[in-house]
Amino acid sequence: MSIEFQTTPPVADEYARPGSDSAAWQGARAMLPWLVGIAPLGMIVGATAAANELSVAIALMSGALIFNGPAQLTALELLGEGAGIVAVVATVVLMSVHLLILGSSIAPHWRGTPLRFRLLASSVLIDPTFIEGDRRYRSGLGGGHAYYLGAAAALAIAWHLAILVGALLGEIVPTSVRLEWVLPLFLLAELVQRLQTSSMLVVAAVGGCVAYLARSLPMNGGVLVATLSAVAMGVVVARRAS
Amino acid sequence: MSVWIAVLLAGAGCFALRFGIVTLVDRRPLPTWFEPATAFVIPGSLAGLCAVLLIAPITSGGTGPTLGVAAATTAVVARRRSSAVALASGMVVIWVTGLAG
Repeated sequence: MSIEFQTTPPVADEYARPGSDSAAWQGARAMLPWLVGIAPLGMIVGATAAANELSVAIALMSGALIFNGPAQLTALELLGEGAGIVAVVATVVLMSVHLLILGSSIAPHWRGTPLRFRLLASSVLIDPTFIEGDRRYRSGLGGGHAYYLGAAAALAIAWHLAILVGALLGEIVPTSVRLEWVLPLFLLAELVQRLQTSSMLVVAAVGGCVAYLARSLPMNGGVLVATLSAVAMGVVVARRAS
Repeated sequence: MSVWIAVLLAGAGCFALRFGIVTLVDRRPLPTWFEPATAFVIPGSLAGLCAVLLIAPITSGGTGPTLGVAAATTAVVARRRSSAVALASGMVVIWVTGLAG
């Protein structure tokens, strides 16, 4: 059992290489399957804003600034219930703590890049952009920065469109379509594709079990605890294997 | 006005998390064990999300898709290596079982 890691981050000016346009398009195309799973969540966010008598502008601005579906959903619910500013901000930040893991994981690939790139790239850092970006960076194909930004642009555009549609038409889609299960099934499919080594199987088993046992923790804390537990187990398994 | 301020501050908090950790990692070298560990972040978090979103509703008597739907989705993606095809298969099973039920 062996695991290979890319230990050398790409060069800082990689995104400026000729042909990086195609990498951006590749990133945008790679995001398309994600959009099928994410669009219903965006529509739910928009519909939630409408149901709480919040304006479309507020819903769209939450998308641009928070850019985190579950956190947006909770924030809009809290705002609709008249919660205070401190409660809303604290809840959103707590629900976004996993961004620290994503950020610390992808940051080595951005080391030495210009400030403007890190400002832009970090502002659209979320699970799908991280997953697609990380996949490209580890592939060694190059053009990782353009690929990441292309994927992020596709996601951001689709996310805001979905919020807009949800805010305007959210009540029209019949519940019998069961759109709420699109995202979980898509995540399951993404997980299965990554289970190609026994290390990954162990990591997934630990992550799933811990999240299930800790599912009652507030602020979606169970998933955070599960991720940390799974990563720790993965490190132990990888060390023993090597 | 307080709604706008709340969203603005929440957005600022999220950006601080995102950009802060990126800046921190940019300035300080990471320990040698850290980068290999990052390979396990995605499978760990995906497994956690799947457990919460799929398994927990089933065991608590919710209206989630049955384990059969999850198994069908898993089987399709294992064979076709396509999330989109697997998702379509899972949704078809949900609709068919919904009609049958």
